[in-house]
Amino acid sequence: MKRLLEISLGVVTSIGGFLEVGSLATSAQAGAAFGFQLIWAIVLGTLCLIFLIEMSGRLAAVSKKTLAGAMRERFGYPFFVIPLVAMTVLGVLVLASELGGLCLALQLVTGVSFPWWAPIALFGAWLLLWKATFGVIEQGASLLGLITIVFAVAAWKLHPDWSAVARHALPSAPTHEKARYWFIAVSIMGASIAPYLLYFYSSGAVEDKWTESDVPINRVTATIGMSFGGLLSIAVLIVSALVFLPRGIRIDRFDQVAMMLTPVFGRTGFYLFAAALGVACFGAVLEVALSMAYMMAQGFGWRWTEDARPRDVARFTLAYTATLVAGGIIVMIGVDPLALTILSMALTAALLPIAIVPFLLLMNDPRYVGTHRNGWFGNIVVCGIVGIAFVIAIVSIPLELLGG
Amino acid sequence: MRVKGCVHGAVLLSLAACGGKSPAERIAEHDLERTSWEQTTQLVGEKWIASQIPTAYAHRTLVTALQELAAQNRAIGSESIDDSSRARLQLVLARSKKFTERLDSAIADDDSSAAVSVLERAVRRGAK
Repeated sequence: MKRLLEISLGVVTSIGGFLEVGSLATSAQAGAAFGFQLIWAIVLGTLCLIFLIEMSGRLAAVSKKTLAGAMRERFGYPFFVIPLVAMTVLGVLVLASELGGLCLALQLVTGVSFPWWAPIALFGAWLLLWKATFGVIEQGASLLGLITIVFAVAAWKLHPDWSAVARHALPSAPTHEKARYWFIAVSIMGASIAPYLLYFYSSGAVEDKWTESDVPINRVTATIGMSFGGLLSIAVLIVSALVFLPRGIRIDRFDQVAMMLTPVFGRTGFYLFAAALGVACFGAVLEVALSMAYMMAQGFGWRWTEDARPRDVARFTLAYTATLVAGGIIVMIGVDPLALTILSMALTAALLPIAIVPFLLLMNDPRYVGTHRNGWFGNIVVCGIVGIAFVIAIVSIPLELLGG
Repeated sequence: MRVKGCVHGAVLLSLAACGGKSPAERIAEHDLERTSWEQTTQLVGEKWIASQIPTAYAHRTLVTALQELAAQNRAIGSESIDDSSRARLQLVLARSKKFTERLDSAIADDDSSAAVSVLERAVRRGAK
């Protein structure tokens, strides 16, 4: 019974924590521009994420080491600096995107311009990180994030052609705007396979003191939770395809996306969208800031835990504070949150090999995972998807940037 | 070394492809973008009349639409396309701008009957 409860809680938190500004924005853009055609990118990204999340939980449960800690120990400090720098830059960009999404949600409700909300949102996130324990942050944000299920309800009520939805789970070539198609595809994959999630998840597993007996639970929660989370992204894409595509509305600004739930829920839909965006982004802000702090602390060998008093883990506290401030500055400048989100997701895809390849090497090293080493199937799936995402990113990012 | 070569090749290929956009493709892109913002304006109008979105949001989105249309006008001005196409693009853009301004003004006055007539006029114009 206790196991069942643990699994249920794990699944629920995975679903609630899945959607964030990246998956929301990229799915909405994809649906508005290409209908159901890019569902395959969400399927691929989610499949890869399921494998990676399961692996990072398994690594922590078996070795009692976090991903960053094991990476530094196995490959040495000079190598570790490469993913550390890449992930820190990316982390700040992603955090700015999430913070921008949160501020936009506040702008939608209040009418006050989003950069003005940045200091308040920033302080709120920082205060919660300062005061709350890991459990409160992980489960609280994820449970509130269950509001994002409204997208699934809306998709269901709009009666899409389910056979067309299923057909597009397999990749197909674009019929128009080829550069944009591949750029959005790679942004979707970048949004799904966010490396910060892996650092957060493995650190969380160590914080929660997982043991080898948690490996089966980890497998079930990662598979079921992430699969349902992926379905939420598909729901966003379906709603966007049915609401915006018939009118020829391309999503160039977040302002446009805010109307997507009104055909189903009326005025309530507008506020449900704002609430879903705000809650999802707030949860992601906390996760990204903590992930960056975990990675730095574990990499440099500082004391770290979210459950200790901030003064006892001063450098860890300073790390998440600095990450929050850096992201906040980008939002306060007034950078367009949608453009920033899409670009950071595409860059994430381009930088995936830096984070994933050493991780895969660790997952095949018996000194870390003993008999729980990766099977050939998991290795091939992850290598294949990361490889595809990397190649598309390298080709489509310059195309999209220079092609405007 | 081979991987590095492939990456460089892919980037160069992408850059070459960018420069290769034909004038017809650029004109079609401008049409798509204008239609997108005109339809956004239309949707905002419909939703505001149906009381499904707040006035502050409607106004802000229309201001954004006007900014986007102005930016597009500037881009068309510097685009290397023939003069008749440029004139046509600028004409339809001016119509879209006027439509957005009228709707914004009706919403600012909280006048839903004026907003309805602005939308009806736009629909009639679109049907022609």
